[in-house]
Amino acid sequence: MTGASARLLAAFASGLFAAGLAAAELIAVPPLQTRVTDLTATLTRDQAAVLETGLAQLEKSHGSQVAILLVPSTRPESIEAYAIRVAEHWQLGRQGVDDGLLMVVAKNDRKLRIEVGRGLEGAIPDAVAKRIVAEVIGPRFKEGDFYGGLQAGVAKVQAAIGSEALPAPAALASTPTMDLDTVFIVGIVITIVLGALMGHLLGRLGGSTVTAGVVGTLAWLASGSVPAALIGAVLVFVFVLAWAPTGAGDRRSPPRASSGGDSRSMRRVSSRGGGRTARSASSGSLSSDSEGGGSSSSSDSGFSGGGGDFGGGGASGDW
Amino acid sequence: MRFPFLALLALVTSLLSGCGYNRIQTADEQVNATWSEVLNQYKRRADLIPNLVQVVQGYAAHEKEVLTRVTEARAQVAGVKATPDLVNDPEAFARFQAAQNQLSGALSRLLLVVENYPNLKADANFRDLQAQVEGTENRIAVARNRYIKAVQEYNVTVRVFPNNLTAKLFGYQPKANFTVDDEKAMATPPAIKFDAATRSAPPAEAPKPPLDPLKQGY
Repeated sequence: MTGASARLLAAFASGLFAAGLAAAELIAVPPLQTRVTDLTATLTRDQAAVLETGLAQLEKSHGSQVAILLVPSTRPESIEAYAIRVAEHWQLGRQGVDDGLLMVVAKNDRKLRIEVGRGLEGAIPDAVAKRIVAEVIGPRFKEGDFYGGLQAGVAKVQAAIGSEALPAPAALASTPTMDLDTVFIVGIVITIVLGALMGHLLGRLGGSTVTAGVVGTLAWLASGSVPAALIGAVLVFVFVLAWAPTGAGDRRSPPRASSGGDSRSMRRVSSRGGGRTARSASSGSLSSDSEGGGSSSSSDSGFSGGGGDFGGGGASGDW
Repeated sequence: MRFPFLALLALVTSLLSGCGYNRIQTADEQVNATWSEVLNQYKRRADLIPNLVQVVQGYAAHEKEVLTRVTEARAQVAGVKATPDLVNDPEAFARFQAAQNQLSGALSRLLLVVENYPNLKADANFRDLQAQVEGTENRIAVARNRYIKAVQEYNVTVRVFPNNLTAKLFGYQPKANFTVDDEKAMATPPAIKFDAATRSAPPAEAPKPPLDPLKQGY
């Protein structure tokens, strides 16, 4: 009964999630929604909630993301192959710190694996993972005490992570990354269109300043690198200044001398305006970024991986 | 009006990034990175072997043949220069693979023999080493899978039009990948649990169906 419902659930998950990716005969990776994913209906709701709270606490205090997955079986794959597939999909742990950890229990196969993120391989080397599997969790599973085994295992993992010097939690805000090609081309197009438009409206200096500000801000948001954005902005400024069409801004006052004065004053205004928009845009994005990072990692509803990397470290065992 | 000039500049820019040069660079670097990881993990395994041999010797000194074979295979692996350039030299790549496979075979033999020595299996030091060897075998499998994927991506990148023209111009060749035979061997890592009936069979011919790494859908 429970096996059938779990399989149904897994099938549903596969339809939702990785239908195109995984070959049909492989067990699908369930979507990551909570830290404890039980597809075998082994844990009661309260037990899962207790584990969940403990793991959430760990992330709050140390930043490390630990998740537990119970599946009926991983066949035809070995538990190692399945676990790394799940780990690569879920991306537990912070990006760059790679402090994720995944416990996979294949209940009907009687197999268990602790998959350790790259950043935790020092805190939990293979030998320690093996000991946790074989000496802490395994014996309890043998007695049918799945909850007790997981709880004891999590406690050991928590202790090991707690003794490791990791970066403070929430230190890293996720930065959106884009294909460099795309950034480049989009930047060029924006520069040309905006440069022409702003050149018409504000004159050369004003137009180039505003364009540079806008493109620079966008480049910063897209690449997450301030120096690159600054260089881009300077390039755009020079480019538009040199090549933008002269338009309304200059046409407004026909005599050449006063036109120069006009555009200079225009520049001052527009540069201030440009600066303000850039700054407000940047601060807005910063706050939204940190908000996003905080809510995704700390709130209990809607748990998601932080982009951590796994290299296949850890240990497996059976009971 | 300088729009024609601007349009031309935009065209040239998009052509430059459209010829695939950047893509080839990215794919090439990805191959190098994943290959380095493969080398890294192979090295990690080689580094574990002296300790392992030493511990096993303490309990099972008369399993000389198995131990010697592991030591020899390790020496052979060390003899093949493992450089990042290996991926561009199919012949050296094949030699490297052969040496590593031989070590894999010798190592699994050793771990099978160990099953006969309960005292050795109970040794804490040995258990830790065994966990490390297992973990490293798994890391090797993961690194190889990622390398296979990276090479696939790279090879497709340099073969499709118009990237193939760019690749030819700059001398980017398709790279060597692990053959299916290798993957068969990899899908049966030194298994620690074997019952007496299968002990005599060479580990490379274990009946477990090989997992096609390309179908695992990572």
